[in-house]
Amino acid sequence: MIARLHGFSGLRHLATAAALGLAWSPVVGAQGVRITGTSSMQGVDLRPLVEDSVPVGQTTGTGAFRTMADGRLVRCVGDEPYCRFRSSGDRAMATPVVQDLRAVAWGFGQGISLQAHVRARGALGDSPSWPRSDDAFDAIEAWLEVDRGGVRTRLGRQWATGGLGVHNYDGASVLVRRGRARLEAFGGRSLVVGLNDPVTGAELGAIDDLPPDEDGWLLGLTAGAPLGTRGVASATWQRVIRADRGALYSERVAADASVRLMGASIDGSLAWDLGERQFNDALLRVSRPVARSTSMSLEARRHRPFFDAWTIWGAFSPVAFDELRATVGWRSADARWSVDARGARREYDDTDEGLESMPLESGGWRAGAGAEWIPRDQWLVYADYDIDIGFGASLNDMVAGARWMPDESRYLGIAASGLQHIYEFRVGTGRVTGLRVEGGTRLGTDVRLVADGAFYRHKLTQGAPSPDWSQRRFSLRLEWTVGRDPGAATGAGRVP
Amino acid sequence: MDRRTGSRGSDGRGTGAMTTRAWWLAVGASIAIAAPVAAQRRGGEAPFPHQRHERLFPLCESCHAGIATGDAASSMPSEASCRECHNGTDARTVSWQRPAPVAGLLRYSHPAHARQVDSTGRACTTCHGGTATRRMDIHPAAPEGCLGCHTHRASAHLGNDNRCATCHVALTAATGLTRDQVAGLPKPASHERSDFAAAHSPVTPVAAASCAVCHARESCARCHVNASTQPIIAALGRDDRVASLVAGRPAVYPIPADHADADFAVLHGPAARSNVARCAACHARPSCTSCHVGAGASDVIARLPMAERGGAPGVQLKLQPARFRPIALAMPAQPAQSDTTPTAPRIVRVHEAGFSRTHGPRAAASPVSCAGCHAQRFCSDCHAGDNQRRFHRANFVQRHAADSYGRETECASCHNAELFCRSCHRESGLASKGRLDVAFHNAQPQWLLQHGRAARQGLQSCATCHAQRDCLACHSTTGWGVNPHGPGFRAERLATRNVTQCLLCHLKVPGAR
Repeated sequence: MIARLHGFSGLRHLATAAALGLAWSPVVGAQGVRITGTSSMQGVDLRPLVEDSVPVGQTTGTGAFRTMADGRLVRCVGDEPYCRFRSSGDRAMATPVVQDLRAVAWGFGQGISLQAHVRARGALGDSPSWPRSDDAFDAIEAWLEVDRGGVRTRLGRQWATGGLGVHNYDGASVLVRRGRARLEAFGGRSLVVGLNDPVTGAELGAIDDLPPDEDGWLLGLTAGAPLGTRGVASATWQRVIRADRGALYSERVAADASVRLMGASIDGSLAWDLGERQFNDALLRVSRPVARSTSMSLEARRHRPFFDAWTIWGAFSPVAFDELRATVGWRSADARWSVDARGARREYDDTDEGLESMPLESGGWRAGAGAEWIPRDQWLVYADYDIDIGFGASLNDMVAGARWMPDESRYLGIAASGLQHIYEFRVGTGRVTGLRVEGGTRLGTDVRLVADGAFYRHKLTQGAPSPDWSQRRFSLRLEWTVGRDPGAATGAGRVP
Repeated sequence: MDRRTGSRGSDGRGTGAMTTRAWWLAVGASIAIAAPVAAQRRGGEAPFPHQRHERLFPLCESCHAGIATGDAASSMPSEASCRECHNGTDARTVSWQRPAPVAGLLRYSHPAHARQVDSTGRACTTCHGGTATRRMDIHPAAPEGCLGCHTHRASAHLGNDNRCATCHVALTAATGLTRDQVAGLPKPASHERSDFAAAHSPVTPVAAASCAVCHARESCARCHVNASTQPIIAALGRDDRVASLVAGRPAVYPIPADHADADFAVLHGPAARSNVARCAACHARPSCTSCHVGAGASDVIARLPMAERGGAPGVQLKLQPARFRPIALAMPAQPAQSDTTPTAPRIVRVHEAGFSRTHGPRAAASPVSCAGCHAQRFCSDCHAGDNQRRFHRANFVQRHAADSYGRETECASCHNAELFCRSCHRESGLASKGRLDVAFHNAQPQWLLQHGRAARQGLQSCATCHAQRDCLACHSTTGWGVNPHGPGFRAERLATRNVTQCLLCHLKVPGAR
């Protein structure tokens, strides 16, 4: 099987690195090493769209868009004798394989530890490509930490986390803690969020036709302090500049607060784009128990997408939407029943675009409800229904299933789902029904195997092009841990 | 024998052979007021047939003269006194031996009470019965008789808020009680309340003394992991009888009222930090470390005791597998419905439903709180994107479009839209190939006239199929020159940030470096 792996040279690097790491840690005197591995493989039937054509004479209608006998839409251009369309090609199974390795080593000295998270990707056989499967090796995190006397210093590839989300970078950070207050400064070479590559890296260049030609450097500050005894607040400033200091890729600030007041939890956050001088996000959420078994939350938010300044998207004046959301949840006294319902309404700002005679959805709403029932300690029965009607894509979605867990080491589940695409820009209206089984077993204290398989049937009800999502899927996932955290009995079964 | 006093005699039929036990019970008739063992016999006649001797002994003091004076030697008749009649001639012989005093539960002074004779002069019968016609209808004293004078706050014997130590000594001092007698001690009604176990800690010395009447240190150490360090528990003293009774019985940990709050599992930190001793009553360190693997709460946890071998185990908390509770982590606790009946674990939701979607502001505001239970690698499990399959529901790839347009969650928190979304759309044949193509956007003929509005409302979604060059084909000076900027657009701001971005459309050939 190894011989059939392609794009998997990273795995060899990974195995080598892991072996070296294991061999190296005792040498340098680490008190403990914890390594967690996750090996996963998926199989997904795909029928990508391929271009096809049909003689003009076999279509009905006039103009650019006509219809074939089976109802599919085609595009006829000028005097060309053929009209074009796309249809699903031959079925092929994509089999992406991902290997994650996490290693934590500590005890080199007071407060000194090492942490790394690397990932190798590939595919089995000549399967169709899967997102990022050609990115054979990815170092997600790798840092050296010294934590002494209220000061924590990290050096290496790491993430800045705060009100602006997560931003990975290669550099250093210093965090100073005094009681519940903290101040952190960080900086280094900026990486593309979610990509772990610099903006000038090959991965981005392969997909973006206008990538930046200079790396970015990240600078940031985060401060946090308690709000009396009932809350806490933080603020983050973050700036990414071109390496030649000739331009700014982004500059944003964020403020977040969480307060308990009169039995309610109040969470708020703001994200402000200093370059555009506009809010990207503003959110206020209040959640409170309204009875012993019932809780409720109200949320208001304003969202305007943020784009790095190395893209042209920000110049297209994207508009914000405002959303009001409410949720209510109830649990029975014995916790065997729980029901929740949610609903939201959103409305976009005026775009100053388009024609009055051709309106487009300028808002949307969603609603949903879910229930869980534990008839016996080993059983969980659940069902969820959601409807989302709005701009861009709308759907009806329901899922119902049951899980059986005879003991803590095994479980088995089955779920049926139904999905109706009501309207979309990109793909056609249709229905997807599916059946899925899942199961897992613990093979040892720190080894777990999880597998699932599913079958989905897709029926298009409109002629717009869309891949046939009728497919089989399966996945296998092996999770294992060697070593343990300081003070922990075992590595498994704990919140990581 | 002195027949005037007639305090010693026989029933003349040889049925009054006194044994040690009979002697004790005879004494108990006087001294076991409110003592549980005696209470079980309440209403019955003492073994000594007092009524048969009624005519022989006109006064109680005939046999029990020492009770009123505190003279132990004359508190009970001697065997010689019995033989004055039970000599085999006048009456059959009896065997009798004066017993040694037994240390019971009662704290009672007959001499002190003897000075409080009622107006009729019936000093003994005030408590021990007897009527004008049946003077020696003797029975054990009832505890309620005490309450007539010792009213304090007692509504009844075993009532709420009784000051037990007024009449009783500590159990450890009542060495005369057997294990079975200790086991048979009656349970006050207050102990049956559903909330009793959760809030039974004595708050005053008087209340603590009441507990000590029936309980020893082992009673508390069965459940309280900090029993050895609590003065109020240590003051109870050890007792082998109690140790024998609680051995093998499971610890019971009821859930206090505040623990039942929906968000207690998340918000218990300040309460724990301010009063660790309260936590330590039920929780040993493993209670915390089943969740707290981070460093955020280590200083508080270190102040909790470790469960000692053979001692109380402490509340056993265990994370429920996430797959069983797909929405949030869950944590069971052990409820108390009875001392012995095992009950189903109580599921406590650590985070509210939907927390995976809403945790952002709270995590940003207080990462220290997150760090109490989560190492930072927990964040990258999801935010690193493409190898986390638990966050989205199973068929998410088929439903993700609606979530993406509505920003149900911020895709960019975990995925790079440029790469992750577009590469998949490209492989699926959905992504743009750089020219006007067939029948997408549901083949709406006027799409070109609508797309501007759609783009401003959902530009992130546009970018998952379209590259920048697709737009520049029209929206650039080298293309059709169509202005894409909205009315609020400030060119100088953009130019100040990154003039290269402007040049892509306005001066240079798109794509030129």
